[in-house]
Amino acid sequence: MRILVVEDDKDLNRQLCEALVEQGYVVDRAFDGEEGHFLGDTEPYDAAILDIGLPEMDGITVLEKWRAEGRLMPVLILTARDRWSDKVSGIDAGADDYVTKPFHVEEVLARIRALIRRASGLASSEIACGPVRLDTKASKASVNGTTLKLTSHEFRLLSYLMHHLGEVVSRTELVEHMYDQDFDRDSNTIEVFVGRLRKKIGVDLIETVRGLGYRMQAPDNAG
Amino acid sequence: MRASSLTARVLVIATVWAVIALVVIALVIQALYRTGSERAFRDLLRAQLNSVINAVSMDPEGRLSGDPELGDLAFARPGSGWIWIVDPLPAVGGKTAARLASVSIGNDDIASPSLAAVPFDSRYIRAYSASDASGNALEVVETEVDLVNGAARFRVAGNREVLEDDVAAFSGRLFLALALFGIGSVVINALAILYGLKPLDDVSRALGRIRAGEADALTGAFPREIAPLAGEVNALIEMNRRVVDRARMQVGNLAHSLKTPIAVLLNESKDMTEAHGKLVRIQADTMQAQVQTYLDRARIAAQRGSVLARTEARPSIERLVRVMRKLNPELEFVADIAPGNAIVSMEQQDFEEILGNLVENAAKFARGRVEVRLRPAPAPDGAAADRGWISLSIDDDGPGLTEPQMAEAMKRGRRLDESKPGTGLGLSIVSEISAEYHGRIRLDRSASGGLSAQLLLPSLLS
Repeated sequence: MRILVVEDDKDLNRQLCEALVEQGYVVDRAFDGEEGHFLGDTEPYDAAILDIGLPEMDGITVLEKWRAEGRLMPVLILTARDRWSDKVSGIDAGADDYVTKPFHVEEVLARIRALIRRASGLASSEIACGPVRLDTKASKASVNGTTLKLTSHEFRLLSYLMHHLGEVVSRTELVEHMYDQDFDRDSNTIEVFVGRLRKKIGVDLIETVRGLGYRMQAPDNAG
Repeated sequence: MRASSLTARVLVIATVWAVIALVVIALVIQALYRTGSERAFRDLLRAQLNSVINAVSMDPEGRLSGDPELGDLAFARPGSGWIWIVDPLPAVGGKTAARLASVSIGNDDIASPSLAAVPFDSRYIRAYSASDASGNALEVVETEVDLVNGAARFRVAGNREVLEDDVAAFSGRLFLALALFGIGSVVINALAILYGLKPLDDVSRALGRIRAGEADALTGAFPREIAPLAGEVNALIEMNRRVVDRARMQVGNLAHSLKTPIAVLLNESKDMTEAHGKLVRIQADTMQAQVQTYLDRARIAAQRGSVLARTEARPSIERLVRVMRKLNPELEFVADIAPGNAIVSMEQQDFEEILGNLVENAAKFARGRVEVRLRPAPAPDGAAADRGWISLSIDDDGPGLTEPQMAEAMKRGRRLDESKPGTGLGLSIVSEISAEYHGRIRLDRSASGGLSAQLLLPSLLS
């Protein structure tokens, strides 16, 4: 899962990014509205955290431009203005949720988790696929109740596939959502990660769709 | 009317001037009339003196004879004060004959002053005042004439009472006419002044309305003389408002700009040692509470007296419901607004704040459904009945509150200083705002067993 953080306060930006990375997300950061808008418009993100009071271009404008350009990722806005009229204008501009400053980072993490889950059409913080369970809250995966020991890359891969159960996910898409913008991408490494993940899960739930990518689904749905 | 009022000043000056002018005019006219009357009186006496002289003759023995016809019966009436007397003057060494006189004098005489006191004029006539035996004040003209056979002193006297009565009658009518004119002038003056200064009263009333928050500028057509004043006042009000707005905005910006560093401190404190982290957290929480308190104060100060505010209920409610649906896709939100064109007498921000807090609360506890209902309502007890009221109820189907919990929820944060931001049901801000608009809030059990927050708010039912 790849997240964009647009916040001009360097310390707050760092705190948010550290917490997100710790939870297994891939994070890109921007410190002003122009840069944030550019990244959000050109890179595929699973969610964005957007401060309203930004230099260069304010958050509401960034958000409106994204929506006008057809960028539909869930957006969580951070605002110091806690009046309802401010919140309502933020949501009306296309935000999916808001957190008012000052906040605890845990609050932001919970909202982001909920937004990503909701975007995937899931109701619970736990995603299940056959015997495999993904706990998005704890950033843990298990098979038949046994916790899997996964590297951060393997976790991201599993998490992305499980958020898109039944869908064919291309290698490029996986690369884009598993690495931040600065990473030297090589789609061949994806095959290596998929191989390792299949071995750790033990059950063959990840299917290779030749020429297109991968699809993860529970055995009873396979067909 | 205040003693220092402009109206009173102008009125007093105009009245004093009118009284002085009228009194002077009355005295001057009266004096002129008296002078004229006296001259006419003396002319009459002189003409009668000539008639007596022409009618009286003296024989060689020095006896006087003649019967002057003066055409006035008063000369024949004893004690009338109208008298003529002809005294033969003794020739040098001769004897004196009897005098000839009108019936009115009888056997009396008029005391004449000495020639030294009142000498004859160039026409050999002298005039003086005297009195007769009946006590009448007399005006006397006297001359001495040579009647061929001897000389005689001719005197004709008229009763001054006639003159005084005439002058008094004239003065009476004059004073009455001038007094009526004076009263009329004062009344007209007063009306003119009151009418002329009415625009100033209008300005004063308009300023009162501005201070009471019922208007935000001096409006209306003012006369040329005070239009610039009204313009200046408006400019001053506008500048004052801008200064206050700027100050308020800067307080707001300052308070809001502190929130990011507070967030950083709060989050950073988690990586510190137990004791340090706790210290930083407590201090950051205190800072946050202060920031919130001053923001709330600024907000309430800003809305104070905004009685002209009007907000269409439907768009605000629908906008909020749309937002809440997006934030809580698993819940059903229903807005039931009747009449659809209801207008709430509140600033839009404040109405949305109340609504937002209550609906967010309801959504927090609801199992599946939140309902917002707006209806016209009767005025609550003790409230002005001349304005409309609406009831706004926000119901959820959650677990609800017990009676004691409801009482506790309403009690908390009744005063701004006691309220803690971020805690409780968000009711403190709701009751603060609704109280500013004289609204009422109460909690009840909803039909589905959850909580029902019920508000009575002032309204303009269009």
